[in-house]
Amino acid sequence: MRLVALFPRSWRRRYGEEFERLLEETELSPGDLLDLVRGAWDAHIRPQPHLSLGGDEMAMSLTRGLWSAAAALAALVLMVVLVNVPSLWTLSLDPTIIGSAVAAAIFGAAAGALWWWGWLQPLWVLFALLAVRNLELALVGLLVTLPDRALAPLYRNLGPTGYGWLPPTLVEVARRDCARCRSRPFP
Amino acid sequence: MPRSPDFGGFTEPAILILTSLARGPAHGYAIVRDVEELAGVHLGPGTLYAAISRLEGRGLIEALEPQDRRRPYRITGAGEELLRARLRTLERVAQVGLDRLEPT
Repeated sequence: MRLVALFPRSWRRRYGEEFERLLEETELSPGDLLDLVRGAWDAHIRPQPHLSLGGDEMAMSLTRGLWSAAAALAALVLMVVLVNVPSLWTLSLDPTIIGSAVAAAIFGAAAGALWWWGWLQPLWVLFALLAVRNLELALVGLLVTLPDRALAPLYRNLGPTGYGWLPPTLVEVARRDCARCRSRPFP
Repeated sequence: MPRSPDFGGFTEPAILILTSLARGPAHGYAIVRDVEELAGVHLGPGTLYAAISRLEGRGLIEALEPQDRRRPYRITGAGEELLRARLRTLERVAQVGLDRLEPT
């Protein structure tokens, strides 16, 4: 991995080559790596005025930033649609989980793109936070509904006459659990 | 007491870098080695370039033509003036501190 990629684009354009040369000459300790990450963070949150982009590059970055914002907006719309339109529940996963995962992916992509271009620093931090938040929602949703979905094949095989071979206590447990199984109610 | 002009953060590394460059132009790696010998302080790569970027942005150092992907830096007149002022302040502080530590 090229460590210089952690820095904003405008910074890399000015110092990237000599910085890479310095890293080649230096035996980096764990402390140096932490220091490098801290320096990259500083370069993102406190961009120096003499490193600002030129007119054409600024226009190009603005265009890309707007596309990223549009992608994030599309993610929000997609998430709302997936959550609220039952006919789109084509997957066995809870639609909230799908929506959160899709939103996390698109917010993450938008944050990564803005970070790579080294522009709109506050916006990419916001997108990254939204991506983390949606990923957290998706993971929590997955964990909460995992028992239901793990038991779903068992539920499917349990008919009024199809569970005679199971111990009665297990059938009772399955009946009770099936009350929580939204995708396939117990027969 | 009026505030002296600052370095925009990373003050101690900035003073060490300016002090290193006071003897002549040097590139990043040479500055790191010189500061280690001079003050026993190791400047990590992130700290070094955060300070260099600020110093260059404030016109206190200037970049020279790169040689073999190493870019030397040179202290400017404004950098010399600010370094001199800072070192005199530090000298006064050091003297007062030492005097106060003397048993009365």
